[in-house]
Amino acid sequence: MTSTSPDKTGTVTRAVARRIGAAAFWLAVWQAAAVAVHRDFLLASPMQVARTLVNLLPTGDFWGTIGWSLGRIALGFTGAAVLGAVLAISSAAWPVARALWEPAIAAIRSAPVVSFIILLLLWTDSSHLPVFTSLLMVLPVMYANVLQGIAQRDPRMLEAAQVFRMPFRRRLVAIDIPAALPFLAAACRVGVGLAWKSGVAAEVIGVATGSIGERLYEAKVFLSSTDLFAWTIVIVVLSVACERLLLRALRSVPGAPVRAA
Amino acid sequence: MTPHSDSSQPDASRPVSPRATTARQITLHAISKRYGDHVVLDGLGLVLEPGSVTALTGPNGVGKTTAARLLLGLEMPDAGTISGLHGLQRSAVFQEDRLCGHLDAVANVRLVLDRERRSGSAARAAAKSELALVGIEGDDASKPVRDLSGGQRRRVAIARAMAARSDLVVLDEPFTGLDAETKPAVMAYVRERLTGRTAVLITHDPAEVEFFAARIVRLRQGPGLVV
Repeated sequence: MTSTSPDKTGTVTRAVARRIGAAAFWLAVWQAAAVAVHRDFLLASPMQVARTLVNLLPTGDFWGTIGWSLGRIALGFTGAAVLGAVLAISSAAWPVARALWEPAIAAIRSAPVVSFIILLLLWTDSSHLPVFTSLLMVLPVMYANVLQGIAQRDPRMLEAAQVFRMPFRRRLVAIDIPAALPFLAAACRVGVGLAWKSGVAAEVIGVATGSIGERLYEAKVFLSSTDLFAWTIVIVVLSVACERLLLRALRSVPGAPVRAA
Repeated sequence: MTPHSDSSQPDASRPVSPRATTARQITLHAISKRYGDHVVLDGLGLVLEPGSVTALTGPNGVGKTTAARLLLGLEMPDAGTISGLHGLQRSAVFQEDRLCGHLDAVANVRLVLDRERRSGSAARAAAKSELALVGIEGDDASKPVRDLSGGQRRRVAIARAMAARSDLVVLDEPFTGLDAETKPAVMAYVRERLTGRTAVLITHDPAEVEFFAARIVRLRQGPGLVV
């Protein structure tokens, strides 16, 4: 049987109370601003947004829209994670590969996201746009973090692996992946948010039919700040949920630290 | 831990020392090694006979661990030659345990088993029986080694080195951290498992040298070597 000390319970309660208090404060500020502006199309009130969300939730169209964007952005993120890891591993193994990849990665990291979106619009139709945009935005983050994770492996463990002639697959599971996991977790934390931001931006610019971006575009066309806020909240909730799920999955990998960095 | 201090009475149920088939002389000739301006080894000469135990002794900083690293192929000499190492299978107990902390003791030993013994339940059984010989059994064998005590981790590191197929075993202060109760039995286990293998033992303890009936090579600062 386990018991929680009163001190610990008190600390947790205070932390929850602080969070609720902070949320209530910002909702009050939002409400006050909405009352002050007094124009729905410019700034909807929290209650109006909540009502819109409640109306949206039971509709199939709402979930279909979420599925459309979630699928494509998740595909882009996964592609970036796999490609970033492959490029980082090859860079760590061969200096020539590193010399080849680094300028491309630096260019992708520095270029404005809209440049890619416009270029991709020329090459492909808007339904593929969020996949490639989120992939390109997340790729440099994944590459840099995995490369750093590889560099941070314990050299003494690598020596032990060399002496005992540990096969590559065994070393990967026992030494390489546990060393890279904290960095991968950090990359996921940044990358998931980036994938959603860039993916939805691409959907808005490309007016991708059936996407969350299209809903945001409609909100702009119809001057509906209520819809804009409602869909923005949906994006934030989806992004945070994806991040949490991913970090939980990473923590379940053998060798992961109890709390990934 | 399982008491087995008499190594002269072999037990058929114990794992056989997994040494490779080749037995050859290893020769270090006029080896020099420096790190920056610091000369660690200067003209070291050493011959390791097949199946022998050689104890490297001497004060700290005299190059014992560097000599061990050369034998393990982790360093290259700046001058001199080493013969007899090509294709040789090696294992080691390092000064630090160098275990995968998130893996249990059985998994750590399994990592170094050769292809034939590496997979499936047979591998697990082989690793378990190896660990049992150093007194790591039951829950201790199946929890992450980071949760074991320092002495237990040391025994896992020793069992791992003994379980690996090897012709040359390098033991760098292997019994450091073992308590007085377990040390004699672990030493007896190591002596038994070194049978037929060439071994280099780095130690400051004359009792260990005597126990392994090792040839003593005493390193000193400066050129050459005193035996």
